[in-house]
Amino acid sequence: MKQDRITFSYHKASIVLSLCFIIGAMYLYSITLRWKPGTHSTLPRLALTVIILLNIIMIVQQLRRHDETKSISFTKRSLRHLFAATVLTAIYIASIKVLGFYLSSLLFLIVMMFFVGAKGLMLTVGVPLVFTIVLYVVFGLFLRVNVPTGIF
Amino acid sequence: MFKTDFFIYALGNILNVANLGLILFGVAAGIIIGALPGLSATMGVALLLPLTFGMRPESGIPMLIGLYCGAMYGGSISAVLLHTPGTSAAAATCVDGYPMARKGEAGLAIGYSLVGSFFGGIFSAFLLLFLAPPLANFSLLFGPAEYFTMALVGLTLIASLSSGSWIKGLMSGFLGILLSTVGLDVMSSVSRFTFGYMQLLDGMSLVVILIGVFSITQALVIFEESAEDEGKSQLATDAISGRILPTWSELVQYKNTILRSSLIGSFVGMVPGTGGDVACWLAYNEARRRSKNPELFGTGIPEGVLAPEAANNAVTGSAMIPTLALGIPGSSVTAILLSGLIFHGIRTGPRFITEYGGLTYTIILSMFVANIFMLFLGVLSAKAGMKIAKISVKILAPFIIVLSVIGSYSLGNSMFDVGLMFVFGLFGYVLRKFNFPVSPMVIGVILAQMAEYGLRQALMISRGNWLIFVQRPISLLFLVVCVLSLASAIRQDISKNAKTDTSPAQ
Repeated sequence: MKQDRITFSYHKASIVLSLCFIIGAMYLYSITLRWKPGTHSTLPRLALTVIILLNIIMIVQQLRRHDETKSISFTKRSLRHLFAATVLTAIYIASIKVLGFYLSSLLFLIVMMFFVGAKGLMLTVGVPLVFTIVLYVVFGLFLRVNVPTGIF
Repeated sequence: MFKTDFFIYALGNILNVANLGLILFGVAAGIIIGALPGLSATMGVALLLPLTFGMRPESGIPMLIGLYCGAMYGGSISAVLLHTPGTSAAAATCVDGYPMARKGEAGLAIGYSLVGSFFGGIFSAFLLLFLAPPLANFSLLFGPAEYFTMALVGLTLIASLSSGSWIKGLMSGFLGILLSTVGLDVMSSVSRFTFGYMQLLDGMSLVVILIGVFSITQALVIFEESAEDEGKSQLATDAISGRILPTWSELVQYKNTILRSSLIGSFVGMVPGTGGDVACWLAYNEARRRSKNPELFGTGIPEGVLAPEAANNAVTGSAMIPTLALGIPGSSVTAILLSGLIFHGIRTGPRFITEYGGLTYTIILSMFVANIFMLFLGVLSAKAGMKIAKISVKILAPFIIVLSVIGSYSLGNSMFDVGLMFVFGLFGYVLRKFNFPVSPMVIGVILAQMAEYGLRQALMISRGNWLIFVQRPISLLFLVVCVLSLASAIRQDISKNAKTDTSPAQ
């Protein structure tokens, strides 16, 4: 089955990424200039200088090769999956403080089981429930990790 | 030198029933994780690391070593049954393992893989036992200048030998160094790159970074890929029947292959930056080159399974040699093991073996025990390999995310760490899309501690004179190695580009 693809030029995207690294490194370098003098700034400055230089080399390489045949490609379906998984994970992490770790983990797992296309009550609800109980036994009872309990 | 008193202490530690149980658990988890394509040994060790925080390092680290050894073997199960390596170190096993399974010898192929893995693992454990202590004694000659240049050697070797571009490898390594400088500097009390976040004053936990870039990134990749290649893999057989283990006489005829591959794997493992993925192909090609019937390779012959498997498991013990003796993690897995030690307040580096002799020998002995358990569990579970290989990895991705969350939270009971871990997961995904190797970044974080200590102490001793790094012979030698490894990587890059430029257009 032919799927719709979304394609980015690897060449252009690499240059943009290198520019982001250079701008970020220069900003961090400017922060080190505000620190009081001392050897604590030597290693960060050394690392930032190397990062800037390496990214300049990478940009020069990309400009010289100008290889437009390489690309970063997604099908619309895979991009949707990736985006949904990222958003659901972010919501899950944000919900832990409100619902507590165990409840939000259970809900997240059930939602994700449906999302990945798991079928049957055992797989969609049973396995997440058993897994959450195992987590409680290992981390709550055995390792005594004080996980957030939420509003309940 | 070999220390009998530490050895006896370690033997007592390892033969403790609880510790044996933990190693067994680690090996079993490793075999399952290794057998599932998409889940790597690194990810497994990163996910299980938080479990060890509540244990003594003498118990927790051997469990992780068990997982490491088990995963190296486990990778061959899906290589044989699905033609898909469970880990990158089992890639070469597919070539002959899968055809063997198609011929109805799936069980025997797994058996050869198991025996090869066992001999390779035991061989490298012996090397670790006898090579690490003398190397550590030699490292006692090092001063601050040598610490700094040795960390640079580790970083440049890892960057230049890691897969893909050396520039990206080096860039990833220096990103790791930069990340390690976040937090309050203990010597000057200056807070570096904390941006007003109190939670960053203690620095970024390596474990948080590790779980993010290995586990969350991998889960995202699984979600992305599962949308594209559903039902691609085909099982080579419907059931594993017949004998699993080869007979002694069958094995004897391949003794040279096993020994040679174990040597290749051990040598590759000792070089930082190279691992099982390189060793398995080197050993496979060497076995084919020296074979009387090289044309049979690829048709499903035991030698083609034994060679890569002996080599990739030989990496496990030898990769621990620079890790324990010098504090330079040879791979991302050994970097995680070191981070487990650091969590317990243990200072890793050249003095580790002399200061923590008992723990060192416990770690070394656990390599032997893990390999023995791997052999037994491997035989018992071989027929269940079919069930493991049938598990859809996309079903496991949500569980990986939940384990990542609880793992990063349990470090310091902080949701900030969880958020940071997620950010690193997304960052790791971007790096992966642009072919940046992540291992140098993780290793950079570990080496930065040694590098910064060495750099600052050396500059203090020399009153700011940078020539100190070339005036001391060992330090100078390390710098020469740095330059040579980078020069060789640049040369390879140039010749690769020249080939691409001269190749005819498609």
